[in-house]
Amino acid sequence: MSERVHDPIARLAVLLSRLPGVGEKTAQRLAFHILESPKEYARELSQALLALEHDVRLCSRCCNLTAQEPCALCRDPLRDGRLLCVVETVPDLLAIERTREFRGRYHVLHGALSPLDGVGPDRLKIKELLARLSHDGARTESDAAGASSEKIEEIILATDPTVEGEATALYLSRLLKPLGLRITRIAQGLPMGGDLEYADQVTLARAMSGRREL
Amino acid sequence: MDLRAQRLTALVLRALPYGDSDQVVQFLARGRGRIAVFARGARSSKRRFGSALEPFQLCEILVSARAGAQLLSLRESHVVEAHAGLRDDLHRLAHAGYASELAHDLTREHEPADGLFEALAGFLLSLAVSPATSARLRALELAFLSASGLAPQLDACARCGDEVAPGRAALDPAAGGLVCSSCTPPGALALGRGPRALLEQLQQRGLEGAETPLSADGSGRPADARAFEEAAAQAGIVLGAFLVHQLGRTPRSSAFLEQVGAPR
Ligand SMILES: [Zn+2]
Ligand SMILES: [Zn+2]
Repeated sequence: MSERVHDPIARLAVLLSRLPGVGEKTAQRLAFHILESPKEYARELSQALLALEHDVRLCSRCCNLTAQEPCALCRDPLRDGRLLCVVETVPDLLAIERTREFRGRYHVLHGALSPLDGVGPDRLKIKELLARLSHDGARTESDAAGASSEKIEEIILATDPTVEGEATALYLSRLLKPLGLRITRIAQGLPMGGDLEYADQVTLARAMSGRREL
Repeated sequence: MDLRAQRLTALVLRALPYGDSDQVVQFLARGRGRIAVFARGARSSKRRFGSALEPFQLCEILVSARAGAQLLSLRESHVVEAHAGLRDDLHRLAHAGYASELAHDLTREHEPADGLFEALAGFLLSLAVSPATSARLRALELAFLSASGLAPQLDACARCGDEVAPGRAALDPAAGGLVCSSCTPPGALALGRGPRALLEQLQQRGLEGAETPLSADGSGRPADARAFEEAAAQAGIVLGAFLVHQLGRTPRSSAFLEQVGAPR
């Protein structure tokens, strides 16, 4: 649709209106706001958008979104390489980071198993997780690129307390148990049906510290 | 303007996000059939409906119709039966997902489907407290088909009406049931003696037949549980093809059963 809109303001408004929570009116207001801002703003905005497309990729170790390889969390030598927290999405990772309670590392699945939508294990970053666990301690490509080494002892399954999140945690716990690691699930304090991303920091911090063994 | 509020007993089939803060929930309601209900604020505030919109739960809901709006709106939802045991086991979740998808696809909005509702409610209740089995899935599929007026004819050839000799049967979706050897079209799936007896028993006895299977010899003794489950898995291939023919597509969740190694 945007290809056919030639007027630059209308074109921008159409593109902005595709953002969640942005209606047509808001999109138009934003377009005019950008137009009226100093020239550098529009240039910087467009460069930031291009950088998303060019520079952001998945960290080869944890599948977090990053512009550097490996990502900052995997490179940070102060993070505890014995703890690995498995989350569904990057916003979930950020929500846990905001609590400042967790000092281990992450693995992002980029989704959850869905019995209703037929989303099976092959659609999630589970292969990458297994590869990471089998490299445990050994030097890998990402180590060479500057990632701190890790010797994982505990895997915390921090998927959402929804049917999809529970299914994912059940699947992973069965898959990972034979590896002899400690497998834990974040506590039930989170309301069932909730999304980690929306949980308040206190609840989420409590859920992390009150995790139980599977 | 609120037209009328209605209190319903309903099973949550699934909930889909709508924008950042709302959800559209598909319920199967007793006396009402399948309804799509708009749950304002369900995503942004968990206090609004708590966990009462999670799939597979039996709820008491209060819905109202709004003039000009296509969807009903949800005013209250309380969990009557959470079927919490489903969440302890991946195979149970997989089966519950399959059952919900079938229930969705075999019903139409606003068309009462009480037979289907009761079959699903009974299925979830027993699935939540015992292992997922192929036999229970077959009982559910047969109950759903029968509640939808699509039950396969199993007592005589669905084409010529003759008796079908044991061991020479096939299920022909286009004919609507069992066919004898002379009516069997090329490519029809053969139905062995054991799986055929199993389907007959489950069609007669429903879920009860899956929980306490009886021997096929007519003695009234319990069936060998492992042999029965084996026959149920075999019958699943044939009944699955029958279902796909009736639905016009393969349920998404059936691939999931395979991927997580659940009984099929
Ligand atoms: Zn990383
Ligand atoms: Zn015939």
